[in-house]
Amino acid sequence: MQVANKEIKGRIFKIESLNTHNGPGYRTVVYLKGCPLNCLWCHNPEGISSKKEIWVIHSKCIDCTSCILACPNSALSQKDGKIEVDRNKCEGCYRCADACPSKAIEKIGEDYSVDEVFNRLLKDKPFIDASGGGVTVTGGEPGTYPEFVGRLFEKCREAGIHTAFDTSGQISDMALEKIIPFTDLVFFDLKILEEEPAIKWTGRGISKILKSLHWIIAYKSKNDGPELQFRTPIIPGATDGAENLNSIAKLISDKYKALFTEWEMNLFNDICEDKYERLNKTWSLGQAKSDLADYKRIEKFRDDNAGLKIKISGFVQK
Amino acid sequence: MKETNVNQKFVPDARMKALIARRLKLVIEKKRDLYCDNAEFLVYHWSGEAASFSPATGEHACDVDHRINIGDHNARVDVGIPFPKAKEMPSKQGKFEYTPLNWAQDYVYFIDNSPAEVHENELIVGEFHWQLDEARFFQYPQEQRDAGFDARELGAGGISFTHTCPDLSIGLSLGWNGLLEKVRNNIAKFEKAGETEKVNYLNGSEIIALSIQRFIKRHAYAARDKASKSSDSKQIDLYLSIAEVCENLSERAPQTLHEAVQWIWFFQVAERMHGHGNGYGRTDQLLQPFYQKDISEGKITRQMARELVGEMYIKYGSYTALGGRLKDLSDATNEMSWVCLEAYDLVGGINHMGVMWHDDMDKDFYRYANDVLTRHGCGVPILVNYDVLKASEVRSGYREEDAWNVAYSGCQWYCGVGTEYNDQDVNSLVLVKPMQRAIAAAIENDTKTFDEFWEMYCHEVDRTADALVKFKNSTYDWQAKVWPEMVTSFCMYDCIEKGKDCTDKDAVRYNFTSVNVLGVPNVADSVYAIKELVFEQNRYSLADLQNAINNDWKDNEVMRQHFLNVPKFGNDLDGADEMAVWVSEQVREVLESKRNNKGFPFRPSLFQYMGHTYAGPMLGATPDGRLAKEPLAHGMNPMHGRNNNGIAATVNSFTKLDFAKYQGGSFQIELTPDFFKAGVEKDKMMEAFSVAFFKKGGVQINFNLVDLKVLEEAMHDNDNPAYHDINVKVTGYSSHFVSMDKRFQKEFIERVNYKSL
Repeated sequence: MQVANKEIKGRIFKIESLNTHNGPGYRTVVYLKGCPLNCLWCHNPEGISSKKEIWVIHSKCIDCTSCILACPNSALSQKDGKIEVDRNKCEGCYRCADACPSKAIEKIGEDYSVDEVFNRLLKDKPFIDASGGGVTVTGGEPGTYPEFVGRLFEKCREAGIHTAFDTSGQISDMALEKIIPFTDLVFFDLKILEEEPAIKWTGRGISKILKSLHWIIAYKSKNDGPELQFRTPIIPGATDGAENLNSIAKLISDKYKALFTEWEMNLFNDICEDKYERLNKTWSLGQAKSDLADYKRIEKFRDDNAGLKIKISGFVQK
Repeated sequence: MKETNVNQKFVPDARMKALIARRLKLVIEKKRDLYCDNAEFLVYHWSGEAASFSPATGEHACDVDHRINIGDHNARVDVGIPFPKAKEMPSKQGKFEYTPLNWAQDYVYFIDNSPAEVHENELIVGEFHWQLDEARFFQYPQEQRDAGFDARELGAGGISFTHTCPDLSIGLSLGWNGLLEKVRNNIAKFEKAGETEKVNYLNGSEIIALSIQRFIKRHAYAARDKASKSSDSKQIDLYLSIAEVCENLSERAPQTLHEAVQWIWFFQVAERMHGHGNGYGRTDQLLQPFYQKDISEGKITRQMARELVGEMYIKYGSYTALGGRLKDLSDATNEMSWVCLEAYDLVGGINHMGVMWHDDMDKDFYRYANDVLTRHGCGVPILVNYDVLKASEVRSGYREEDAWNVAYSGCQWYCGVGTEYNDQDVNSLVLVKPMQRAIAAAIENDTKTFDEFWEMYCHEVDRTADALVKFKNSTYDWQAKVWPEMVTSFCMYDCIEKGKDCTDKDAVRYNFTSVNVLGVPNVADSVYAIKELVFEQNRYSLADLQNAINNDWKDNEVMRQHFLNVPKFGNDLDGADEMAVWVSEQVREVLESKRNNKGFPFRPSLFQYMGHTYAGPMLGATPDGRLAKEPLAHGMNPMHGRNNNGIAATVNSFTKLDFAKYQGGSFQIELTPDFFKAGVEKDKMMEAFSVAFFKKGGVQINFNLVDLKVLEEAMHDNDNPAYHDINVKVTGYSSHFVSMDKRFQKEFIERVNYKSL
């Protein structure tokens, strides 16, 4: 017997409505927690670990120390007037966050059932309908929750809600089998195509990613859909080299030219740096961010590769 | 948004550019500023002083030290001196009486001594520099004022003054000769019946109509005089055209679009001389027949039509409405709806037009409305939901045959065109006051349950409402004698026919009393926090709470954080939102249970134009965790900084209320330019957002695109010309940002809380 939708859960760290840059129209974007990759530039570092985590918004803290008293594992302490989290001790029970009167401790990750998320989507349906929008799952890597995403998308299909799946490709065939048949649009990340640099920057090689891409292409050849778009984050020193971009261009122009609708190049910024600090992680990309010269270079690349349907997005410091 | 940065779709020629430049010059020279008496006026809509609104000179003028600049959306043009003949007014020559005829004699003297001016480049003429209340005594008898102070003590107040919407089609079809004839026929009728009071009223109407005819004719003389002295042939053509139109309009009804626009503008000038505040109905319906006739006769081009309407907007961007439905409920959008919107796209600036959306509206027109709105970025046009406006009028007791002809007419309000004198936006009920009394009473009675506390709160709301009823009834007993609105009454149904002023009892068809309820979200959040922390969790006592808020939460930060972080209205959280619905429904039921002495119920409006900024310090801290220095929430919009789940969640909370039960409740959105990512079609996204909002039951959207950095700079550098042309939709009205009171500027910046998605 199939497990009911109210029993199938995904760990979600954010749901946002009225998003305008993750598919057509207004999107309700669901961020699932946990990712097999560990890209050094990740803009959602709170989505990498699949565990429940907390972080402290120091500007909201009123020094009442209620959180320290509430923690059963002594994971919290005060140092130089700031609350510090010992992440080896924190088990994500959230008692500290519940005790904090000023909501300075935020919970990252709550478990929602398919039905709960779907009901949330229904509230946004008027915006979705009026704009030709839909739902987009991202993360983290949403493919780490195949049953959850597949069931959610199936329900969306029935309700006439457009579905978009934003994936790194680092997922199992089983996940693809569950998700792709109910997906209207796939955002497929192509970051680095060389094995060694890929391991260096993302923590994993690329064989599985390419396998997933072939799986989707094969699926598309037998079925009507899903729409396929590629995404490449333009990271200074990591992905933005001519060699890398050319090899991606070659891959998609040789084999898949007629099969995708857009190749989005997302220029890099460092607005996520404070997230790393809150997670006690190191932001290794320092001052790196795309500047006007990068923008011009990418623009030229776009113009030189007119057939590749390149769109440039992201903030640029001009 | 800065006007110079707007990418207009229609480009003004040199003549229009000169008029636009003069408009900005008047703003910079502070000649369009609109003041209210003091902070009490903002909060209670009655200052305790005169009963008028915004006199700049004369005995009722606001005290310079206390007056508050609401913005620069005044129809008058200040010339820096009082009305020169104020002392010679007939009523000041020992003949003051509380009668319409006495008032009319003053009005006639006043307009006869107001100059007729024709400026270079104009085709549409007419300006005024003073209001009648700067020259005529405007004060109610002591009994009315005593009732006013009693009401204020309990948290209510209000004036009664020029907040209605005449039907200008009455005047457009009759012209001033026709109106005069109508008045004279009715004089004869009432003379025969021996109804002296009505005859006297109409005698006043007669001399006023004649004085307006003289006023218009004097513009013809002025234009001819200027023509004779000019050597510029283009300018001479303009003057001669003005002279011809004014001569015609001083007598007969308008026959061309030019004449119709000029007729409407003269009516507004003549009418605004006796008060600020009316809306002027559905411009597209009023002008369509003239436009069609001119076009079919080849007299006019669309661009000329845009310029004529645009000139009127430059004079003053009055409250007007476009779109909506016709009597058979079909879409009312016509060619003139487009022209009226295009005219704004041509001249930009401050304007108060509303587009009345409904599901059957011409899709291209509505898309264009959203294009104008997002391109100009300053809340023009305001988007309103026609079907909700109409439903709320029907619910109030409107007859179907009148209800269809509703027009968006003021900040958040709307009105049956020519059929309603509804006191919109001039009465106030400050909901925080009864809550404060309920807390005190509950402490005194050692109340143990939330239900008992709620009962006390309901009782206190009722007391406040009763005090307001008493005050309003006292006002209505006197209003038509103290300050009749005799120019407006020419274009109201049944008034001339009944020999009664539109402010009088049993004159127009609908006489509701609408009341702006201030602080609903704060009270809802406060009561919810009290329910949770005092009565359910027993964490704090009411006495602790009262002590803390009386001391502005000083040394009670942990406690304040607890009250602040109980779920709040605006985040799509059921408990808090249900309380907001509960609190607003309660005050609605109380108001609707009261009747005024015109025989109509009171109605709530979930809005206040700017009282929330000054009310904060006046009322002190509140149990929602608010500090005394912070403003209250604006209308029904969640308290600033309390809605942290994004716009969609706020919309969901907001539309849990049934707006057909209220007289308006605008949804305010301020977005920073980067909200719309590169490549996103702003017009389409705004259209989709507003359609979804309306389908959820929302009634009005005020939208600003604001660059926070620029506004912050502008706030500290008001005199820098770089910031002079930033237009904003403040609440329901528009203003240049730099003209606004400092506290308004600060509040405006603080409310921008949708910086990112």
